[in-house]
Amino acid sequence: MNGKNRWVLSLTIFVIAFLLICPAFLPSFTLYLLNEMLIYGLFCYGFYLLFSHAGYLSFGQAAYFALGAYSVAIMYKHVTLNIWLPFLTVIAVTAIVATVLGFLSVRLGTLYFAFITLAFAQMIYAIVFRWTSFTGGDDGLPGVSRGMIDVYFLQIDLESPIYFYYFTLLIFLVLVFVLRKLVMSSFGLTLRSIRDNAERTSFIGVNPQRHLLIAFVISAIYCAIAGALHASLTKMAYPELSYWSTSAEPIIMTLIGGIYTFSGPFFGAVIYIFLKTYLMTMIGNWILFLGVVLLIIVLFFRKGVMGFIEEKWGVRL
Amino acid sequence: MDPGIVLIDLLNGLSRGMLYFLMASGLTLTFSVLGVINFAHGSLIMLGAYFAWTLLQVIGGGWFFFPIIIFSGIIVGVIGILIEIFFLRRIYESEHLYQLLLTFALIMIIDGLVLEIWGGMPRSMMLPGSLLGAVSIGGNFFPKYSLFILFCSTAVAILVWLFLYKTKFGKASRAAAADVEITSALGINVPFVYCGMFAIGAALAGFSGGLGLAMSSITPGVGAHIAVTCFAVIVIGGLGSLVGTLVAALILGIFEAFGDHYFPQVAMALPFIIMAVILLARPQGLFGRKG
Repeated sequence: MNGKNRWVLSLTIFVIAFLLICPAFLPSFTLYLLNEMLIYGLFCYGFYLLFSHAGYLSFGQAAYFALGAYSVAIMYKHVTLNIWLPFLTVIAVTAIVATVLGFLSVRLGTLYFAFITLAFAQMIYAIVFRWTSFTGGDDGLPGVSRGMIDVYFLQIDLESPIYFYYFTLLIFLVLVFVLRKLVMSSFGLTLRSIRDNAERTSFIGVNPQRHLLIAFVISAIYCAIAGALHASLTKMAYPELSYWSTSAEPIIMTLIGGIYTFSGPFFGAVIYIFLKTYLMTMIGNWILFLGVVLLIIVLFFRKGVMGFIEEKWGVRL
Repeated sequence: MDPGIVLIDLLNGLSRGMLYFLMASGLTLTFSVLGVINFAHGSLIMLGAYFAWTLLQVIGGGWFFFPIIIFSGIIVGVIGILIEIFFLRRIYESEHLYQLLLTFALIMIIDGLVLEIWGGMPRSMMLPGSLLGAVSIGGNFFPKYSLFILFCSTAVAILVWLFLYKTKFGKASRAAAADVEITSALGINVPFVYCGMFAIGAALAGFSGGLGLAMSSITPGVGAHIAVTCFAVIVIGGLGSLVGTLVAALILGIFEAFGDHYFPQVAMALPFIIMAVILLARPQGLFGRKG
């Protein structure tokens, strides 16, 4: 291990340690923001797996974000407050929906994929918006619980912001660790070879569509878990969660952070939410501002922040 | 089923279908020539509707209505030229993921600007009196404005056809779609063709927006909604095929018209159902080429 790698490792440990101890001294609003950053970070990692590794740009990941939010909201409301069943439902429902829609979308190549995902997301938005009896329609579902953990002797009520923060952090760390292992595995390598040349990859006996479908479903599950946590954090599930502007958020965050760096999606989410919180009231027309930011990134700053640092310091972040 | 009513439904479907064709044709043209999928196409359609609304407010309706929607198409065409020169031109060489992202950024910028200029309130256009009301066809009533849409969009479709196949620019653009290098070796100014084609696509979008949204209210979110219908049309028809776009638009329009009448509860999902069926049976679309 050379000096630079050791430096990156210690930085990672420092960030994790900070995330672990910060509830002790951060005021509640900042903790809430940090919680939001973790959730959006997870959402970004879902997008990142498909975009950066498989080369498939999805304009519709909000569909799964909303699916997670509504599944967990409905389960907490009507079935149980214990987190296990609601979260299993989120994963099961998302896996089914993503397998069907993914099967239809991934075999068409990257270009078609981009607008099919957008079209399906708008379809889900329309369903959520119209199916008032089940989803609350335009009003959404207010008062979503944060659930509780209940196993034998251990009972934790996640309503408390600090417990909920640790709950999110735990899920975040586990899922990011799993993703790291996944992209470093032969599966990740196969995805990247499909990204670089799908035809040649199929010549060596790999079925690109099957790999892409698996990546699509994993990505959707990441987005859905992020959505479920988001509904609990904000205590709301509403139709805009599945709207195209929600799909734009992980795209912009990941691009800000750097699409070809592993830490990019998380730091992108941190920067984005920080800017959103402190600039939104000042700027007013947020969607216009975001459009201009995205335009500038695409034209002049494709590496993103972490990609830029990587290049300057010669490290892998 | 009463044959008179079926005829009305069919006419309604044709009128909608031709409008969808007009809306989606710009997308097909820019894709087949420039190789860029313009995600902001729906936003350009919306922009055309807003321009038409403003001009109607300023100038007033009556006989000016038709020139106004043509003029709003031209304004959107000019905006298209600016977009091509300042943004698109820089990224033809890049990976197409960046092209998608750039046009996606344009959706946000156009939506933001619309919100800034016209606000979030729904706007509805004043139609001239001569286009209100209905005509009687075999004892059943059919709205005059739908007939007007059918007539206008058919006329524009024929014009587009003539333009592509009979004019020098149209031939040059088809040549550029087939092979850029050879075309420019023949002395044709390809960047000019690209810019012109994008402008025409934008102008078609603007015109169809003014024409099509006159019947409903215009809100900043309508662009994304229309874009999705356009995507469904070009997916069903096959990417880059103008004939496919026409056939798909008519299929969609007719299915929707009958769906609205006989199965209103599923009508909203119809474009997606048709799209899913086509994707399963023929992923490249009805008239698309394989690969």
